[in-house]
Amino acid sequence: MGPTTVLVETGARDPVAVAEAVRSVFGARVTDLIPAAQTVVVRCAYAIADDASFLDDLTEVVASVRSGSPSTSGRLVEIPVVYDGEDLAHVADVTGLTVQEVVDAHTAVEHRAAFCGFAAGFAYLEVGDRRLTIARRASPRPRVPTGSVALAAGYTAVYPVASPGGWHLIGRTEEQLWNPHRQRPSLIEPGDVVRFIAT
Amino acid sequence: MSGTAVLEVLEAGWSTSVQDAGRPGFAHVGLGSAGSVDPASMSRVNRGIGNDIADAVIETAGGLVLRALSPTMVLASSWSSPVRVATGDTIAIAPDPARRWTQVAVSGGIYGLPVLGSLSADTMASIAPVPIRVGSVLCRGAGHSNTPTDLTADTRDPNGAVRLWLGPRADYVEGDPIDVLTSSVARLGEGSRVGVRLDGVELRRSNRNELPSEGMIPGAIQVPHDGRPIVMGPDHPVTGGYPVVAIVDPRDLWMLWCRPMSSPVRFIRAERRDGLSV
Repeated sequence: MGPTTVLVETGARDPVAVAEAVRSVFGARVTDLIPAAQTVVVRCAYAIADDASFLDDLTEVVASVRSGSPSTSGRLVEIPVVYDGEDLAHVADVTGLTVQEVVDAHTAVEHRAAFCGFAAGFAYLEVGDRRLTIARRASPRPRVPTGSVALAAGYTAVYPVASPGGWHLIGRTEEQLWNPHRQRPSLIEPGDVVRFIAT
Repeated sequence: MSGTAVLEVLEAGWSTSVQDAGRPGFAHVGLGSAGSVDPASMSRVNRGIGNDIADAVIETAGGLVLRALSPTMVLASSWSSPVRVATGDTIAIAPDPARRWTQVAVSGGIYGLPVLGSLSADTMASIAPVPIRVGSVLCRGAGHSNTPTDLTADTRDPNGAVRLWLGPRADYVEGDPIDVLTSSVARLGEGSRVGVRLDGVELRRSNRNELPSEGMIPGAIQVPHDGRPIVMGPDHPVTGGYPVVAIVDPRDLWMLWCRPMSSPVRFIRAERRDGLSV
């Protein structure tokens, strides 16, 4: 991606595990590492596009990550949720579950943060129970309130700030997902594991 | 002295914010780097006033009016020399017909509590360590007062050719996207710190599939389904689902932000050896 950045396709490897391996080998030589659904962006402060030894080393590091074994360095983050979202009944309809079964499915298993994006502190959590896989809403809402807990496209997430949004709202939390004045600005980082607790 | 109130904002003008070199390193948690749209211009006005080159400046699309609350020196990128102001003086930064953005440096820089290491505002993330609104008071920063170096003319040509690199998803459009971009008469369309549209270019999508979200960088040229490319700016979202078909060379990105709206843009293909001298 230009002179300073490389897009790594991770194939069967976990993008978070690849990003961690790159960080551990290259350290501060890399300014930004962006794991995403199937790729990792590796951005440097200087030109690397023609730096054959950098690219060889990078290839070697990526190849050293075992396929199919996700990063295990993430933390467990527990998030209390009030399940009273506007789309809860609709989600139950579409998935063929009862409202209580939707809540149970969402709280019974852990959801792993695959990557962040859309907004600061917005983590895409791989939905732990496949029955909760549901397409985005046909038309997005102009405003989704801060702390909304939502489902779409095989992911679940919490909106860190109010914004437009096309995900199905199932609940809300008082937890602060994003605070740039905290030691750890984003409550959830890629690789973390999230457990929702019904309150 | 650091912390002394030096300027009051009488008129905030258009898209005015405080900017420095930005805050790289947080893209993995969804936060872009922000920072000046024209780092070289920021360094130049800082040097011209005796500041450190990365001290925070005010960046505005014009219409900014300030009043001095104590004696200081101010330098706007559109001026030929710094101006010494006395208490009560007003300073008006008119829109610059030649450049869309003007950088304004103040002696000693601007005081503020950095957020994640930077005073830059990020419009996408609603971060503004030093907000600029009517009535805002700006205090002198803790910057050194070096001897101002003679202000050298900004000889860079904002109308020069903009170098392009092939993007990772070039195969999502018909033909070679760099050929299409270099042979079109592209014009700058609507823009903000988040991104700018390129008018007059159509990059027809040959692959209409959704792309799983992937990381973005400033300068990435995304192509939505309508075929109208968008160039990502300093406050861009860090992941996106539209294919990136080309990348504007980071050294040339300032040109797309400095030219007035609807200016023509001439693209050229970056040579591989261009990569060695960043």
